[in-house]
Amino acid sequence: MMLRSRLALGCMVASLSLVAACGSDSGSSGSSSKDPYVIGFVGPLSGPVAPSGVALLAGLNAAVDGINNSGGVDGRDLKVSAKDDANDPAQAVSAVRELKSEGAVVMYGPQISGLLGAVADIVTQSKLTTISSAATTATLVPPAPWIFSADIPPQAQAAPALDFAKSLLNKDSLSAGLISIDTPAGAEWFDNVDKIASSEGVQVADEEKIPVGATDVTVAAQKVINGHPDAILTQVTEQILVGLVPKLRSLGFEGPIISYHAAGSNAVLQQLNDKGVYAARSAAPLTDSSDTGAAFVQYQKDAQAAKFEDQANSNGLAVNGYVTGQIIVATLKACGSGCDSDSFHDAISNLDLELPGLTFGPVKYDDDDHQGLDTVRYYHWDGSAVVAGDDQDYTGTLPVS
Amino acid sequence: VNTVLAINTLISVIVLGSIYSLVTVGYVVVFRASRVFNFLHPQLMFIGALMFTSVASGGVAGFLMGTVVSVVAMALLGGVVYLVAVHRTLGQDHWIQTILTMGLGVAFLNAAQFIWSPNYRIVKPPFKEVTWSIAGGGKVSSTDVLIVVSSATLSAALYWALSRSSWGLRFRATAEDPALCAYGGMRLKWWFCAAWAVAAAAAAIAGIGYSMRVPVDPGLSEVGLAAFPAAMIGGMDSISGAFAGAFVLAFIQQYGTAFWGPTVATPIAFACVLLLLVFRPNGLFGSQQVGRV
Repeated sequence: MMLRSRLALGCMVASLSLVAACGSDSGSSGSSSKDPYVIGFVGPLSGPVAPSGVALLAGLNAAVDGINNSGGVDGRDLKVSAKDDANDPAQAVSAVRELKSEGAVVMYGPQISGLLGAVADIVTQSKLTTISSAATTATLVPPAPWIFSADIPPQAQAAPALDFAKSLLNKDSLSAGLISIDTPAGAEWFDNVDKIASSEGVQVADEEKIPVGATDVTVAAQKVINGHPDAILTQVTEQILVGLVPKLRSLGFEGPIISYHAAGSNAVLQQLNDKGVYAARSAAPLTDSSDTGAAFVQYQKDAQAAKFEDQANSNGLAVNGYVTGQIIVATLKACGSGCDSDSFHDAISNLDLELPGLTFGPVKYDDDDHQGLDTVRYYHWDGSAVVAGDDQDYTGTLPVS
Repeated sequence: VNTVLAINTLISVIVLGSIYSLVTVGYVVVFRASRVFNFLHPQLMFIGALMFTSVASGGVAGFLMGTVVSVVAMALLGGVVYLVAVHRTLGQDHWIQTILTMGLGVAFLNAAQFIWSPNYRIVKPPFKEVTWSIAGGGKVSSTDVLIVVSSATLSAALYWALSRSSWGLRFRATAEDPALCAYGGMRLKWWFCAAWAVAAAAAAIAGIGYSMRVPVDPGLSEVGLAAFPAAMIGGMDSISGAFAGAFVLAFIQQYGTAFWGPTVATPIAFACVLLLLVFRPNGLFGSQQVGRV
């Protein structure tokens, strides 16, 4: 009796082992070759900064739906596993652990620089490739091995903003007022502008910080105007920009107001109805009728299929979510079948991706450069549509010297 | 700080103080009625503004209609919150009710984002923006005037209703001696419910007013929280103190920013509140609490 029981137990264990062996994939952490690739997303989906996280996720989903509808990558679908960090470092760390346990090949996020710093160590330890819209000098110079930038960092937009201002005003030298959100990234942008201002022929008239939760912008606006700038350059959130522009105008400033890429969506430019407000874009807005490149046409198709147009027009970050989706898709294709976290990292470390019509330059990473995008174009509302301010592209890289 | 900056800062104090006063009076009305620090109030401000964006259509008529519908809806919501949640904790320590409002605040913020989506919305003033120049280089916009005039009118109406009318007299009585009022036949439950409704309506008006300057997004609830020190400055149970505290807070914040920058201004504002509370624990106009043993 005892012998028969042991025999039965042995057969059961052997059967289970056989089933488990058949189900496992030799190249990945327990996932089958038919299982979808898990793409992790970590960002603020609730709380005060939720609009940015929701927009980025919507863009990512549009790109993923697009590739899935055309058969996936090597026959495997992509599945987005989205985690809400609520702009809380502890939740971001938990999200990274969860994604690792789910077998994610790559993580898009966190999307706030402070949170990216909080997860930097665990990302390195767990060897999870991380693409973030919040990569800063701290993670890019020198590049943290597992962290890549999804977008041109705000700090890198010193040279593009100054070059565009000079081109717009057709001046070799000018006076510029700076207004930034009161964050470390904003302070670094001030420093970077100061570093290159004299060589660019720019005199910095005044620099003003606005707190993230500012209840009024009058004082900052008036102080900058008191410096009599030819142009005002801003790195403030879209929410603050909506209040800041009318305030600058009502206080008498008539020159151009030039925003960085994370503020100045189509909806906001239209709402402001101010032809003198220009916003940098690292990717073409959905409504840009001048673009006919293949990647842009695909973007329009995917946006339409995902019913993503409203989101894309109301938040400029949405297209960056889509671009990141394309970066992930291209990396998976380069990685080959059975791509896992390690091989994904190898593939993205040598990525050189052209997205014709969608971005204004290639997305290019190597061992020494994890910035990727470095080119912007400036757009404004011309009274009837959002159009490019000029036909030129402007580049900015970190470190600024 | 030159003359132009000083004058425009003063204008911003008046506009910001007007908005703060409507938020602050909501804190005070609830505290007077039920001795609860209502930390749900900022979220009611946010939801009121969101509701306005859903209801209001273009033009002056659409704007007014949107305001009326939002304010009435928020008043109902405020009353329902009291009846369904807060009233059930009657008799408990006030800190339990305060914690309850904090929890409700988190729930309401997330529910609002679920219903309206986390994307921000924009409130358009009902007319084309015009700016007037005044003496000394000051500039006043039509939106500023609309906010100040409507806020002053509503504040005056609230002050009269809460401090001078017979309704206000009963209202004060329930706050000051609920036991006596109950013995006198007043139905306290409905008076407290009315206080929550009035506070929520004021929050909605403040939310709509502030949204004419910035988009409606979850950050709006932070503005509501930023006005809380104003209630402490004026005195948590004083209607006139609410208005005074709002302008004192706006003055400290704005001129602090003008002189020392925004990074220093916020700590200075809170330092002033702490200093005031050391010397006048009940605020500028708050009533003395007598504890008997």
